[in-house]
Amino acid sequence: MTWLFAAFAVVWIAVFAYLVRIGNMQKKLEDEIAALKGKR
Amino acid sequence: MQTRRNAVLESALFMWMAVALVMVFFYAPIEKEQGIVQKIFYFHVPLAWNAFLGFLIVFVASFRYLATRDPKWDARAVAAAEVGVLFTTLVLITGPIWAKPTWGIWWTWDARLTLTFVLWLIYLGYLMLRRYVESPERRAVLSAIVGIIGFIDVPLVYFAIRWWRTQHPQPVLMGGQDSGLDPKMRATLMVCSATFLLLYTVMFRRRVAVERMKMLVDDLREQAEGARS
Amino acid sequence: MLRVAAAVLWKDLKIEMRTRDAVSAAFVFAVLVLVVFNFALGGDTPEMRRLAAGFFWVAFAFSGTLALNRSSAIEKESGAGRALALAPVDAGGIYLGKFFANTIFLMATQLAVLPLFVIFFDVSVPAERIGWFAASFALGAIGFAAPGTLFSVVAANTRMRELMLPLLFIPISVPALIAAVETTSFALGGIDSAGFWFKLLLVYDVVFVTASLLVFEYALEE
Repeated sequence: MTWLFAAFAVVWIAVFAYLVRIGNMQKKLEDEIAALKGKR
Repeated sequence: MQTRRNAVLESALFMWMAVALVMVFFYAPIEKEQGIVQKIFYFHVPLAWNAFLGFLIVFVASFRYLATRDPKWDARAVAAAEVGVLFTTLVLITGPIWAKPTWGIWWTWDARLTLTFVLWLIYLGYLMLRRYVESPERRAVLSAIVGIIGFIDVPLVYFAIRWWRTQHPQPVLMGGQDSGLDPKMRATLMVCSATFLLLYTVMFRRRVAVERMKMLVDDLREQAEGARS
Repeated sequence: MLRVAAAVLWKDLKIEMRTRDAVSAAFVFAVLVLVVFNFALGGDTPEMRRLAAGFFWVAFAFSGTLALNRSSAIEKESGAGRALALAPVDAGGIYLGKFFANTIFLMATQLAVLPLFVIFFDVSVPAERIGWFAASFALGAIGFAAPGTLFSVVAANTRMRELMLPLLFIPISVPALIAAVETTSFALGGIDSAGFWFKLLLVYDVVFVTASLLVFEYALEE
């Protein structure tokens, strides 16, 4: 049933999107920390 | 860093998710009246339970923050709230997707959906509040207040809405599904609940880590400014 | 604590009596909301009369946030808020004073709107339920003022005060809102019993006055 697929798809996409966003933020912050530490 | 524990949790998550999906699609029987759409239930309910758990964590973390003023509690509060709101949003999306083919309408103000909606609004307010406060300390204190008051409200909202719905006729009865569950269905539900708990934990931990990194960046920046001036 | 409360209450009342900002703003807004409802939803019909209590409380919920906003805006504007926060007095007392003042403002608004409400919706209170009607109004006003006083101070600390106060406050007030509408409906003779709702409203009031009281000191921190 397409409804079932739609519901599962929404959940998966949302979860992945959030995890990707967190992953990106993590990377960006890691770089920033390294840069700030390097400056000292 | 706790990357080893994260790695363990994340691989466990993959396994559990695989098992859960197999159970949902191959083990759990197809419901007689609703057909295959009913299987949304196996995501919808665990999302709701874990969202609620998340809001409990917001409450506890808010409390602990006000008591200790340790920023790590604020980090936990915001992480719990964000993942909680995400889960709640998914409950509010999967609910109507399930309802439309099953009962013919997208939405009804039945007790559970209404409660979920109000909960969503309360914690959305929590997140928006954080967006509009500049100073990190003020933000932490003010959101802790909302985190505590919001959770205290939850039982009152629950009782109010339940009585409100029993008094006024409702077009759709969603209450039947978890009374008298087929044991295979119950087992699948339990496995899915555990899986989503694991998912929540993984997302929560990553979000906390991000928050703590943000704090570290702010600290380092402050130090850099201090050294320069 | 009560002495502080009384002092703050008196101060807020005096300011309001001089400027009449909060109550007049709330009154006008409530009237506007009721008028809009009448135009949007079709005037004198039995449905409107049946739902009258609901319309009243919707108008009250929105206009109430205006009144609550004013109460914390006074202090933010003059900087008196910081003085208040720094003063070595019990934060609970400050909360109680503001809470009582807000309750009085809200009830004043209710009384001001009441005649128009009666006229527009053609409602009347059966004699034996007048006490319940008064109780419904009072408990409802308290139910809004209790968390509202706290949140107006919280919202005053944010960049978007006008948005944050309703956003924080209205979802939290859902139980009180439902209970207020049901109890007023009962008082207007519309429904037969509302015992549960009166009890819920009472519990809500007690819980939120207590919780807000305990937490208020954190809202005042600088």
